[in-house]
Amino acid sequence: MDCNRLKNAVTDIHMPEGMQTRILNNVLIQSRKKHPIHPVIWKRPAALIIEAALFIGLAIPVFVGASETISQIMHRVPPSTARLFQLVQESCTDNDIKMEVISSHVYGDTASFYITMQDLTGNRIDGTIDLNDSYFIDVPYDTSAYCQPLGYDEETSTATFMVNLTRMDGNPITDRKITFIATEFLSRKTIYDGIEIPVDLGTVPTRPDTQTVRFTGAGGLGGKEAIPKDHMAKVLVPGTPDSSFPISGIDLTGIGFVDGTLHIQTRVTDPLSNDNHGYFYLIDGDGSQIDYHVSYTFQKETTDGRIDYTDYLFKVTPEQLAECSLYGHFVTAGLLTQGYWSVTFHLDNAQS
Amino acid sequence: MTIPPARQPDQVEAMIQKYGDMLFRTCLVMLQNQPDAEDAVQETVLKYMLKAPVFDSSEHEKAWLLKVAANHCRDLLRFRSRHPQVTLEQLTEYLTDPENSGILDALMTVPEKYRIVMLLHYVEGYPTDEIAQMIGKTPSAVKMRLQKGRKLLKKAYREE
Repeated sequence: MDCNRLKNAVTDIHMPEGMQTRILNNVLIQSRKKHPIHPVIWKRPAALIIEAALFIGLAIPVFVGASETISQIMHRVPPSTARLFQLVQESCTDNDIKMEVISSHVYGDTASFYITMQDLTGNRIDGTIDLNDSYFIDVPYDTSAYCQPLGYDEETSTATFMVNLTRMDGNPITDRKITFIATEFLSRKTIYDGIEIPVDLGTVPTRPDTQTVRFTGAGGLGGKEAIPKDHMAKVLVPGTPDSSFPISGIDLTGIGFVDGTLHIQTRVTDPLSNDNHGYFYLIDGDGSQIDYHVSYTFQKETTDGRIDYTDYLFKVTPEQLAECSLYGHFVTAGLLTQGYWSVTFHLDNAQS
Repeated sequence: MTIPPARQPDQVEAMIQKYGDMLFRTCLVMLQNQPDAEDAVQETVLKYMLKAPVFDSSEHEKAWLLKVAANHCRDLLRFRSRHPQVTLEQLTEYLTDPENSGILDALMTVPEKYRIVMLLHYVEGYPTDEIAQMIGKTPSAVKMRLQKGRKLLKKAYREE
């Protein structure tokens, strides 16, 4: 094996055009989120607009000399980035929730825009809101996109996001009309980070009931080798949920050794309405973390909706397992809000 | 008002210009898709900006960036269970020489724990003891992974 060939091949990979600007832009925004410059900037929508205006480089006379906050913000934003954003301020309201596109920026094959979601009558929006897979961007070309939560203002129940989209074919975005549509979002999430799972790992069954299923998803650190090409896997037969499992919204339906590999199985009912998810890990007697090797997710349709089962597989022996403790990281959502929010805007639609 | 001890945007921009390709190719080879690789690079850059560590030399800075990026990749690989899926992109779109795609495709079949040590050793040129420090393993474990990784790569490349 000629290792120089490997080096030449890997160093031939270069960052795609536009990514550098995108990353710098995101990092500047994130740095402000993690180290807020001044608490006032997240308190009121008006302040948010001020910030957006600063970002887009508008020269609004009322702000001249207004406060050191402005200079602090500008200090962190390279002039080359600030000049590029343009004000949009197009909005729509449904189900008493207002969605507004604040500002946008297009550069080559990539566009970014800021949106806010505000609950006008209640508290369905909180700091855990995530649009994840529930939005759609209508443009006449193939894109990849992601939506990133930026902040939440409790007083006005307003969440801010930044959306980035990139043309798949790498061509510049010339047709600048965009429609951003959201149909639902999850909020009131609970994060269980590093939670200990009360399971007696010294008495795990070595001959549990098993079944062979076609899995719909697989993941883990084992790489492609660990994933059968025919998408068939031997998994546990789901049992009665363990009443001591501490995660509300996820059930523990089985644990046992299958062909010498530890399987731990969870169940999520109606996953499309809650996106409850997570993973397990083991901590051995030395304090080292043992991650699962691979996971297989398979589905069952019932009259109550879809149920997702996931088997997490660990390469440990019963003897090793007896020395371990089981932990997990899980996220569950408490509220699904549905509606139809659609805003059409032009990326070059600057206002002043 | 106290200003957080962060690097200035122009310093961050200069770092991305210098090390952006290195970080991206490391994360892309580890994560096998652009959005995740971009996330990992972004998190690395964010940490670089906010933590603002002091470096003795540019080599120290480079090693720090690689270590942070590698750790983010491992976190993301662990987190993929949220939405389990098999991801493998065609790498040719990131290459200037299409002839390089064969060995990269073979590299993608090598499990992550071998891939990272191979990247750090054969591509970035780090000795095994430094890699051991970066990934929190013993030098002998790194040597074993290099040996096994080489074997797996050779086998996969022959099958390409």
